[in-house]
Amino acid sequence: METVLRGVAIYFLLLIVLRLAGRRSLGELTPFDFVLLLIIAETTQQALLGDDFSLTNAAILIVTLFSIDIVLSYLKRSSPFVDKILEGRPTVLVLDGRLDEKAMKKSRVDESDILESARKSQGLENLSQVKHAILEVSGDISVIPK
Amino acid sequence: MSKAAHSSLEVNDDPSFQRRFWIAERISWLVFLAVVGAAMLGLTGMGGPLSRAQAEAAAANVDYPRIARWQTNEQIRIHLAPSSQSETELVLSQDFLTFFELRHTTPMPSRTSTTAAGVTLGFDRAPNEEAELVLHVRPKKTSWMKRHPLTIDESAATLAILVMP
Repeated sequence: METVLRGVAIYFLLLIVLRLAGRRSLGELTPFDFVLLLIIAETTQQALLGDDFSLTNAAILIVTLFSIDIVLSYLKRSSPFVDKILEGRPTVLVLDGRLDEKAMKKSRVDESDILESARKSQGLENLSQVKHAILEVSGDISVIPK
Repeated sequence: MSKAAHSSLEVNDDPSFQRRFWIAERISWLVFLAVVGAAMLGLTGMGGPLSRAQAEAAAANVDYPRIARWQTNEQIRIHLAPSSQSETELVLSQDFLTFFELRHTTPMPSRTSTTAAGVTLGFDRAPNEEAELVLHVRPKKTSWMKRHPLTIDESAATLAILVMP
């Protein structure tokens, strides 16, 4: 029972913290974010396993984590509200060529981030060539050229 | 209404939800800071100025963790004032032993016995000298702030310990 409870507690703790930390925190993986991810993984491992390094414990944990994931995926499909809370919604950063400064500030995105996505995905040279830019729920920025 | 609705852009955004979520995000960041601050103060155990407390018995001072963590090793340090006796007797109540596993003591007890009240440990000591006993314990259960009596030479000190999950 303890193994299942540990798994459930850590899953939801990580879900809540990562969701509240904001999409930008793990959306694009800079070297620093990668280090952060490794540290979180190592810390989580200790909390998940405790002193029990048995194969049984590992098997129960893996099954528990996948089970929560499956249940949540069904919940998200059946309830748009749950989906919105867990996944969020895309945020429009540029609409018809106009920057939404407030949305950019709140989402911790600046022009250079949009330009980077524009260069990478569309080969654009400057911001005037961007028609729309959307911060997706994954943390990526989609760019639609004019 | 979505601002994208006025454009050709078809995107499932929800600006009013997003605005509320940004506010929740900022509040949660303050909570994150508060958690870090509380941890620095010792309110989550394992070090920090508020993580340990003192309790007094007749001829002993007990330094113990006010906030401990489940399944994490902790020390209870008992400072004994000089005494003419050549032995100090410590009684750990059954209640204490329900919540804490006694892993070992420093020094080792010279005798142990079990009674209905709990476990009695006898420690040899040099007369008229100060001494220190260290109990190495590990919480077996989580609990809210709970008072545990610790009897040292028939004088009880009360340890109020919160065990975090």
